[in-house]
Amino acid sequence: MKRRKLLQSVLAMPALAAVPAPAPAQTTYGAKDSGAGSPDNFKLPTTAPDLVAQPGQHFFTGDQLAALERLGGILVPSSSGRPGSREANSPKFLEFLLSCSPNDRQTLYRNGLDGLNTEARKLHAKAFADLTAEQAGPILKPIEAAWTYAGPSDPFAQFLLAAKEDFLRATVNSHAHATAMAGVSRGSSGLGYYWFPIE
Amino acid sequence: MPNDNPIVIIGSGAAGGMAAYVLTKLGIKCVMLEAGPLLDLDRDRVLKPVSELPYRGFGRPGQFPHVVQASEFDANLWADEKQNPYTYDPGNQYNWVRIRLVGGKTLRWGRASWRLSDYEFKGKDHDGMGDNWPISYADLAPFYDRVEPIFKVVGRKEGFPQLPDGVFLEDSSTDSQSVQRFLASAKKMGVPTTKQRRSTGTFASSANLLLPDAVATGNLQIVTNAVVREITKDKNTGLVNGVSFLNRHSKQEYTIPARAVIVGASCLESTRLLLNSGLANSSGILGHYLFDQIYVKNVVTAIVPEARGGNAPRGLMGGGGYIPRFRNLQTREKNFVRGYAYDFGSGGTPNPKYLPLYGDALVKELANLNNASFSMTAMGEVIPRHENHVRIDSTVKDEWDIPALHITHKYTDNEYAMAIDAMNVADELCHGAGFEVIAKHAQMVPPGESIHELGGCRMGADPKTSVLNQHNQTHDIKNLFVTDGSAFVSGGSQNPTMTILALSMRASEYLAQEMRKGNV
Repeated sequence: MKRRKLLQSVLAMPALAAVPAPAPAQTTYGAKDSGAGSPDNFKLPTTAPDLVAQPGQHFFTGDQLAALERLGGILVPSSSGRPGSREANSPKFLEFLLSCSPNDRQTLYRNGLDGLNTEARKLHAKAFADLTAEQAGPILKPIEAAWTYAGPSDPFAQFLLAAKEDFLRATVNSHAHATAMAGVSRGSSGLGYYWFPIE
Repeated sequence: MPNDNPIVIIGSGAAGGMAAYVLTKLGIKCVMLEAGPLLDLDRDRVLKPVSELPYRGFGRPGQFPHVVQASEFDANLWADEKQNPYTYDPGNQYNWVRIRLVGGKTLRWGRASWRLSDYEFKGKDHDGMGDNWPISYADLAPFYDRVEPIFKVVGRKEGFPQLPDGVFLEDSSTDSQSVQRFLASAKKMGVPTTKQRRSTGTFASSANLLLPDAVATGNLQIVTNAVVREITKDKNTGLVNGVSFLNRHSKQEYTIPARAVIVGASCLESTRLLLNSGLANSSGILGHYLFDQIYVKNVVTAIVPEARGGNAPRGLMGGGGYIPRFRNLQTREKNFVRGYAYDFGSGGTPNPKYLPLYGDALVKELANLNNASFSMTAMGEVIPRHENHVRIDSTVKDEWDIPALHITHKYTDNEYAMAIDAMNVADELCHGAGFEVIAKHAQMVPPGESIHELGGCRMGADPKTSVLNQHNQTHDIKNLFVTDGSAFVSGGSQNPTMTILALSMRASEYLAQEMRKGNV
């Protein structure tokens, strides 16, 4: 399959709910009418924080975040010009998301990340962040179990399946992905009507 | 002395909107009270890529624990769960999904536009289960005939007794090859199929199809952000005489006199309002016989083998259809009563959760299965039971200090058996079409999630066992009507909106007649 087709297919993945539209790194509005920055319309160019700054760390421990970053790199690696978890800043985004998530979700992730490190030390005497993808394979084996509606009863397996879904979504819905895909698939659109608070 | 007060209509969705549409065209002055604001399509929304949303499309965590339909894009359209609390017993989750905007849930409905049949209206006569409605299909058919053109319904006439045809534009589109194979499989198994039947248009809501005409008569005033607290009653006459409400923002309280009141605030809100008002409950039935429809979402997900490779041949994929109820129509065939329907669709990529892969292998397989998916969702009938009910939970109040609802709703072995049968039949249908089933299950979503909640103020011929008569008029108070889904006696597996619209049209015309006769 050609690379272009592959990228279009990934863009069309339905589980991601909404897929980013091609978007430039910096969005300029209003230039057609009276010029960007014209004082009579205030339509100034703005940029997303992800494109110019790094999000802060405030939820996981250093070991947990390192394991999360490595896990993201294995679950959603970059390839063929498609940004992966790292390029999309997905670990830092998920850390933020989890910092404001319900307790049971936070516990699932914290225990799961600790579990990754425990297993890695047991099998390879080093942290999960230092494993190769091949070394990590046996630890991630639960992801390869056949799907059931109820899902696995083991919390570690639940964590891995949650992380797979979250990393994929966070990456495909990122600015980095939108920018990389700009021009690849004109028909693909993550555009949606955002509704403001309604009075 | 003539009563010059307006008819007060509570709610602006399918039920309230249709009441306003009918009554104002008959020259009757109406005031509509809507708990939420009016959308301004130019001001209230903007096109955005998901990457620009604060939570990358995940939504604010914990914002909508019971509204799976809410996305980060449209979170501001759904009723805030913290402002509008409700309770249920631990272990018996109920997902109450609400919209408080002019147009109500017709702003977000799935548009499936089916009629009920006498398999529902006279279900007890057919199999001895549940109760009959006080009306038959013949009573409501003329109103369906008038509702469908308003909502520009498109479908296909089939002559199914369990799914009556209507006045709609014929869908003469050709089916994709994968759908044709599925239809052939269904035919071989004796399972009926048809096209989807849907209301059409950019919006198909009360706000654009009903209320503009009502406003144009000069007989309708719409009060937005009006949270109704109570319907008041004249102690001397026993009739309702007004409504008290609060401004959503300021919480200032108002009262409005009424010649009659039509409640169309949605199934559960209408029931809650009558319970909080202490009205129309001489039977003790108010709040009981709550039900909905079971949903088994993606009961089967399959792959059309010829579409593998990410480049399906032209004409192979796309489209879908509907399977109406086919179980227990003639004799009792299975280990459950009544039946279920399916939606089915061809195309799209299967959810990555179904694929036991990660990393590059997952990305490649998703590309391989691009537009190769075929999925089905089952919707089944729930027999209304007295023990499924709502009551006021006086320990919990909403943002406006109005007591909240406590909801008790459980499914029974009948629904579980139905869901398993739906899974097995769906599996067989897909295999018969040559599809590869990659996932199947029989897990129903929690009660309420279908947003087809029904009952609570049910109609009936006997005032001792029902709240409303055959005209949606309360048995107890002749100038009080309830015209939304709470009036249903049974619901089949068909989406209920067309029936709500037809009932509200019929009830409103009856009210107008009674007013002309001087009875109201």
